[in-house]
Amino acid sequence: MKILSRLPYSAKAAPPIVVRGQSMPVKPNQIILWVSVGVAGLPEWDARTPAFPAILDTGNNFTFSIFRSQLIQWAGLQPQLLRELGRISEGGNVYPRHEAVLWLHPNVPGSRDRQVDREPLRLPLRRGIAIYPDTASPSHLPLLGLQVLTENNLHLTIDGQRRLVALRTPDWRTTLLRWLS
Amino acid sequence: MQGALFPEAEMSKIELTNEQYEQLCASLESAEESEFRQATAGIPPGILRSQQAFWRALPELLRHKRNHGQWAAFNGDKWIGTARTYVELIRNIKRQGVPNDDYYVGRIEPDDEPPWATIEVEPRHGHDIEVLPPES
Repeated sequence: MKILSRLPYSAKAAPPIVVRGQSMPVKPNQIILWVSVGVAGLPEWDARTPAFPAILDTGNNFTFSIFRSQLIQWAGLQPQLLRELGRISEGGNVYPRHEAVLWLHPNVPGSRDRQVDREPLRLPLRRGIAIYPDTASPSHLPLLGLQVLTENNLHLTIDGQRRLVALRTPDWRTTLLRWLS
Repeated sequence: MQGALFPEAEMSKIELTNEQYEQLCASLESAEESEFRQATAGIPPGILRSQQAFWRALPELLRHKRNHGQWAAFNGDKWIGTARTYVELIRNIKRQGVPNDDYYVGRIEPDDEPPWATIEVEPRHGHDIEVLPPES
């Protein structure tokens, strides 16, 4: 199943993204996708769950990281609602990791916008998500790391020539592509 | 002969009495314990107990190939069940009325680190980098 279809990214400065009235800059060569975060114990998707942008960062070796204020203002969740599972250590600093479920929204093919009429893909994360304490103003969008794709067996394709990204769950196409490669 | 090849090894030999050896073991154990306590300080005790039960059971669960990739849940030392999907297992936990801070759901796959381990993450300096035009 296709989740991201011809999702564009730019090699030049892209227009900023406005989330809940807050303008966040998008730097060149940043892949932006739309996610929602929820309490892991709630099994169903609730269409009222807010969606917000995140950076797809394959160089990040964790699952998903978000600033506390972004979690509260954008995801509509208080950190204490998410059960603590452990910690991460990053450059000598230690931050908590909390149990959560991540929902990845399909995009409108060929556009950065999300497809509002399609249910997002549920991505359970056994290590949870990291919550950074607030700085004066969060310096970047939340980060979706490679571990999310790996844990959920997703197939990512980046077409650097056309600057397009595709992401899909395993199916006959991915099997065929693996067989051909 | 060995001393000539590895002079530093000769120098680092220390003879300990039984009492000193026991003291050394005790202090190493307490250092390990304090590290564990520090790493798990924020985890509710019911979740931590369930994580430990999952970690103890993981080698046995991994022995059966059909379990691989499935999810397993523990309520303290009590095994709740396994399921193909996380959602299935959560429904089972809710049906059984297990309190929110008393269970853990883990994935049955080989893992080097226990669920409560502190995970080393690459620093994210790159996201603050601005590429500036060259100075003229």
